[in-house]
Amino acid sequence: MSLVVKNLKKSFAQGESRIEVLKGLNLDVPSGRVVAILGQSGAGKSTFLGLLSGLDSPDSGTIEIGGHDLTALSPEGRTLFRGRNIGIVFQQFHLVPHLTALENVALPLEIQGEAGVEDRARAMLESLGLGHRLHHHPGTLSGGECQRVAIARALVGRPGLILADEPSGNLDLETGEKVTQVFFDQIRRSGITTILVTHNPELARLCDERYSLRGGLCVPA
Amino acid sequence: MFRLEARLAWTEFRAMRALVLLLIMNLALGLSGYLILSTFQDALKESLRANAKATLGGDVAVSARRQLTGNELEILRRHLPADAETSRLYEFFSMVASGPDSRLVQIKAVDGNYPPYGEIQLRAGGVVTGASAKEITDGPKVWVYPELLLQLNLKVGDKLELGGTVFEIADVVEDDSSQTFRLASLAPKVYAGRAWIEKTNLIQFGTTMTDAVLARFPGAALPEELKELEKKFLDEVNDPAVRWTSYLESGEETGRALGFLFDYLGLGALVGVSLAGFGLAALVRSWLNQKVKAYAIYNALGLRAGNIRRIFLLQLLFLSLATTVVAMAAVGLGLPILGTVLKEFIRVDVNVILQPRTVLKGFALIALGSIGVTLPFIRQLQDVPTQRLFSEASTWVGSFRPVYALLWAPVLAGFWFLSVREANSYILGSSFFGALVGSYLVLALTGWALFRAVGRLRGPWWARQGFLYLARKPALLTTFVALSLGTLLTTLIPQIRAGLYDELIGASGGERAVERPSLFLFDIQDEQVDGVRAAVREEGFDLRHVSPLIRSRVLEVNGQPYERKETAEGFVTREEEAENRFRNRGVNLSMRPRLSAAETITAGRDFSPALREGRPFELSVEGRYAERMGFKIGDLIRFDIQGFEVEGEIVNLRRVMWNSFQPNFFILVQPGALDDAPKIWLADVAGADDAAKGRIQTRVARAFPNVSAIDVERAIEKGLEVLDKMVFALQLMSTLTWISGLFVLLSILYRQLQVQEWDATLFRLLGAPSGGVLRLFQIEFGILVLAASFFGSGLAIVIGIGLAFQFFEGSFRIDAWSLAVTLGASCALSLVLTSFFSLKLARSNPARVLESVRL
Repeated sequence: MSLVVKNLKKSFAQGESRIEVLKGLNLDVPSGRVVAILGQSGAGKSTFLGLLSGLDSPDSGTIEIGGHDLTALSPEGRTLFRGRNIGIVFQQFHLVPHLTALENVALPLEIQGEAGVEDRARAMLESLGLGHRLHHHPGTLSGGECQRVAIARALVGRPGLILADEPSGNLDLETGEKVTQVFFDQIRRSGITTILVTHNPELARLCDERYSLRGGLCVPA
Repeated sequence: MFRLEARLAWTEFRAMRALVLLLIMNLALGLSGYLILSTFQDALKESLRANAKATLGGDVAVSARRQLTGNELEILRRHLPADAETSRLYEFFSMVASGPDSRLVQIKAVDGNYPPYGEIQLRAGGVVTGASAKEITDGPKVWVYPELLLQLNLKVGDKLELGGTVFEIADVVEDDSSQTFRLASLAPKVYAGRAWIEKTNLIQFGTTMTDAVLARFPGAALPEELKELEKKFLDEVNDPAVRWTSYLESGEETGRALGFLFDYLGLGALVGVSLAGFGLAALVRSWLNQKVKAYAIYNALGLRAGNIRRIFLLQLLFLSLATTVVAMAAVGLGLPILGTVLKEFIRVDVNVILQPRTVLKGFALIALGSIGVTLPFIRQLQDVPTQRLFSEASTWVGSFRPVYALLWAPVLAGFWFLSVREANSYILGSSFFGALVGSYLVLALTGWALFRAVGRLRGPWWARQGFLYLARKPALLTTFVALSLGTLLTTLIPQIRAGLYDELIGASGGERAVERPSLFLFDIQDEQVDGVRAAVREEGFDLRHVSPLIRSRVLEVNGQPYERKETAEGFVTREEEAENRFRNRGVNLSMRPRLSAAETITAGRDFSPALREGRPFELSVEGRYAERMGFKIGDLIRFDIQGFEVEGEIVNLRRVMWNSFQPNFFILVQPGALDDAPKIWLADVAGADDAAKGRIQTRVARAFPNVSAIDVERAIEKGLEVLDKMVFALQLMSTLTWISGLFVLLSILYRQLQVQEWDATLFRLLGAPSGGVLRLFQIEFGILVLAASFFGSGLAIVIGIGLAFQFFEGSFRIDAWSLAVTLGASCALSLVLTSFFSLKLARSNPARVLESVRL
């Protein structure tokens, strides 16, 4: 699924003034490409991800995912679009605490009303090496395991676009490397378009293209 | 270090303003109800004490339900201070006649010194005190209550016939300080001179009357002095039939009916307190779970578990202070309004002031209660999982070990003590405590099992997630218990009321209504039984349940003397009070060939067909009386009947339906055993309308002036009035409790909102439409509310049946209308609240997920 961002602008009120975070950002990602977005703290990475995922709407500009203009949709429409087409991996995992690993992964499929939910979720977790942790709650899993569950949850619905926010940022070096390897194996195998936001140059080097978010614009790194 | 602890405690407090406000409101609501009741109880006691001397008529009243002997009067004279003023009076019920009509009245036959305390306000003669000259002591004249003039169509100067003697109505009593606020007064009073009453034929052997001497001490009569005199006097008299009543007990005596009401209301208030405690536990647990990571960081920075505990205790102290202030403000505002309501409601002019003692009591209750309720969580603080700061922990939930629940033992013990104290009864207080704790447990187990089962249900994703919430969120079980208990209490009162009404008035209008007596006749002499029966028959009715009454007193039980029990000092429970009353009095015996419809043998066997040669005669004893007296089957009881000693053996225990208003007795003796004993007879007449009752009363009064005929239907109506007021008060309390329950629900739901809002955000993030999220929470809270209402009202009906069996002889019917209204209101309110919350959850902004990590 391709991603085309045109002249994206977003500002926030701070006191009586407004801060312009994105100042006409453009980005074109062909289908199946893995793109790294680098940037320092406060550069607008989270704002950019929020807009790409449809969690927030821009002041102006367009975001086309697979030919569909996300900015033309209502908030409810963006939610439905996200559920069907976008998978998100967070630095802080954000698993539902009272659901088991299996139930967490099955949840997006259940929401979409798809068939064979449990089998698909189980298969996804097993492919990520978590076959023995299916019925454990997030509170009893290690950070690396939680992140693998989060990756499984993002991938299980076969989305056209993956948005990943520092997927190994909350993990130790060794665990982070393992999770990164698993993550890249999965997205490469399934050919999903991926936007990876990070400030880790090592991680960015694994991607097909690298951009920096600087001055509210996306520039090649 | 203390300054740091205080600062951290205060900073956290401020940071969690919304939760703290909820906690304060939650606790203040429970505390306010409790304090209002306590304040009214204090005010009532003060008011009763102030009126006690005027009501009693003296500092002390020495009385007997027979004429006092010369010896007893002489002993009294010796023990009273030399210059004490005394007045002697007789009190009894009698019929008065005027022309063809007659009415039952209460005769007060007084002497010239009456009343030593208090006053009588006459319409024409003004205020009469002990020192006033009295026309009624100089001639055959009477003062009457105004309603008697209306009933008999009389006026001042007309004549009244009392026991065959004609008296002139000299004046009308407008106000009478000896008139208590007793709610069921049977008859209007007639004051006459004692010397003139003695000349009538009203006072005969066995007449039910009270002979009393009122004494006014010179100067203040100190409680210790009165107790000392009482002991000396009673020791010398040595007859349980003679009673010593000081103004100290008089106030309590007259307020006993209200005392019971307040006991029950006190228990109702405790339910509110327990619900508030329950809410506190739920909210504090949620609070600690939220703060556990912060505590771990404090710990990592060098604060020890003890410091963290102190931070928490300081917060509880802040909470208690703030709660007390809010509750005091609410109580202070509410008291004047409620004082007016109380004055109208029970016609007692009480001076309602919030006492400093009550404020301190409230603060202590909240401070100790808060610590008691949260003790297991304070223990949990010992185990702050600081090491998790070094791990990859994704969640921070405090670990609550089941064994910590044992730390609730002290607060439960304290609550049991409060229950007994409020009920003034070990049995009632303990039953209440047991029922409340039992209800909590039953509802918790029911909710747990139900939610586990619901968790296995399948359905669309939103339904499935709703089911899983119920199965896996312990806080929802807490909400379920709080809501179902609130429903239980609100539903229970109307259901009991239905039972009470059925029992008393035969609401169905069936056989029971026909069985209920219209008139109750007593003081019938042996030789008058046939005459009274004939007189009643001439009016077209039968004299029923004709029963002998033999006065006696218990001398020995199984060969051991049965003595007057010393009154305990200080806190006296209802059981002890009742036991003292029972032990200090004689007992009336009766005989009947077979048990009445109002009696059932609960243990032992029926009487033998004939007296047993050479063995004691057989006795049947009412169950609760036996329990209080310490009697059991097989015991040998020796009685004194007018100087003769006889012995009987208990062969069975009976349950008696006292509110059948038929002549019932604590002890029945085997037929034929006491045929020759001196006795009087009681009987009743059923099915008579007002006109017929009037005719029977007049005929009996004319032919047998010593026989009294009481209109029992009037007594039932009076009883129902009292019942209505008690039910109203209980209903009010249960409604307040329900509101407390609802507030607890609101508090816990609000916490759920905060917790689940994050989950709702995640659902939205994963592409869940807002409609789905809305349905999810509607399913979750809908099941919760409906299940709580269903099980709460179900348990109320089960408890209602139990209470009916225990107290109302099994009379119970479901009051469907009340049930529907209570349940409807409860469900509607809860669903509106939960829908509002669900809507808020469904609209949660998923962009929140991009915010920084929460603690």
